[in-house]
Amino acid sequence: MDRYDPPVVPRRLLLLPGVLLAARALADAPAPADYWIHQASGNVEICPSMRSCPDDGLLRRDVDTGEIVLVTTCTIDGACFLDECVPAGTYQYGLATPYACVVSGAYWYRTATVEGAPPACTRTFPAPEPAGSVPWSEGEQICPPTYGNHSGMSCGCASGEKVLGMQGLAVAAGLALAARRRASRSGK
Amino acid sequence: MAALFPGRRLRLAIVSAVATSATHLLMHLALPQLVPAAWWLLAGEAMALAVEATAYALAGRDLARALVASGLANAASFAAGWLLLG
Repeated sequence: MDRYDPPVVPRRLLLLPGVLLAARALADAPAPADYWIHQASGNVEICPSMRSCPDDGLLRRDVDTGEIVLVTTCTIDGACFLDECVPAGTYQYGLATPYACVVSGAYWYRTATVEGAPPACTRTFPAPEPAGSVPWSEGEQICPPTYGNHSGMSCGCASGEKVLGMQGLAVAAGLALAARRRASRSGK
Repeated sequence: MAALFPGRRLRLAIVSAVATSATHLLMHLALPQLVPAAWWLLAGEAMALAVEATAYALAGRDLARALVASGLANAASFAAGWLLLG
């Protein structure tokens, strides 16, 4: 009854196992510790993944002047930071207390180019206070994703080789167990 | 799974779907609270391997086949992710 009959099975269905495998494998990788930035009329919303506003504040560094301010104002739902009436320029936005490294990768900051607030822009919160320094130097990334990272234990994360090695050991143990059982049966 | 448990295909298919879903949820919802991020992947894959092998062994009444099935299925899944994301 359940005999496989290739001509009857639509070819698309043959792709299903591969699609399911890929979906499972892709879903094994969590979202990176990253920022989503949205701007409108000089107001910038910065939404950090896995953390929420106000946390320990968000730093904004002007790439051209080096000026740093601490943003502590939040959107109504508290999911994002709200930076109001931002002048035109290119800015780095990153959490004052940076992300810890995770297997899916983590970012110190993300860069955004702001078109600038219109002259009529009015604040609903006080302007951000100046801050001393940022915890990052060069490069947005704290650590790259290590899921399938061939270089091994970068950022302290488990490597793909170790995971595949462990799975290979399970297969080897199963085969050894089966061989031993077969040998003991034939010895009787 | 069908090749390794030819006489119990339906039962193993159901057990496999339930076990994979359970380990997947555990890995993403519970494990991040219990294990440091640096060890999340290795600990999660080890947990999935062990839980799924146990489930297959109980359903298929064959530990050797269960270990091979769990090891191969998880390795195939992980390798697919490696190829797609690496």
